Amino acid sequence: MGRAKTNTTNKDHSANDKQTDKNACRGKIVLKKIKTEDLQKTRIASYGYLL
Amino acid sequence: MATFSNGSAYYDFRSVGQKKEVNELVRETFIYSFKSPKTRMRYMVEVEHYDCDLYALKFYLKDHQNSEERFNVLTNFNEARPVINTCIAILLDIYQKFSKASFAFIGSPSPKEIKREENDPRYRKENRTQRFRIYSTLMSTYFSEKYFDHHNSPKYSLYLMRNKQSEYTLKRMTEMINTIYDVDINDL
Repeated sequence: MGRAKTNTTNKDHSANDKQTDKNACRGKIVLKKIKTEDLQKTRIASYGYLL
Repeated sequence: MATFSNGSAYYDFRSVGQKKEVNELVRETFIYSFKSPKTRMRYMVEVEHYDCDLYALKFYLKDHQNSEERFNVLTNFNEARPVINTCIAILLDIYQKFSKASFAFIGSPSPKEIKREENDPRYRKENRTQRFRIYSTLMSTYFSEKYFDHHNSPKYSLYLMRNKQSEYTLKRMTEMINTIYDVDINDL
């Protein structure tokens, strides 16, 4: 399991991550809901759902 | 070997124990084990139960159980798919027992990703790790939005499947996760 330890900033974040980064600077993990269309993009369409 | 309803294969597993009240955060830990028929290697899976009906699944090679880097090491056995599928089968086993369970996991950085940060501090080892990307693909592949809302934090390679039957809000779960992972502002 991970633990944040650095004071570096990755400049390769997408725009969607900017708010997360901003909040992370306050020491908080911010969880964002993944949009339905993004879930569809990442899933392997040839497999059926288990649930 | 067994197969899911969608045809994906996973290894046979068994429950090997349960630890109660592990610490002030972990209510109990369910321990599972399975052996790969391909490599004859044994894997251990620990499912930690936190407040908010939150369950976090971790796995590692039994040979690495005493290593601090057991969650980071890559085995190079080329059996990631059936091993991860087995962990998903265990997740389903927990879900069958606890119908309001929500699931969280972190894609731990590999030694290569840790070294990458050492060589170039612009990279964060926790950021969108290879494991996180693989697990995210599988979660969206196997779990629809019928029973779970999917959330993530790519920055921390953290994924949450919040059970739609849960009485706990996302805000409450996020607070719990922040307590669990204890992200210290002084370390950022």
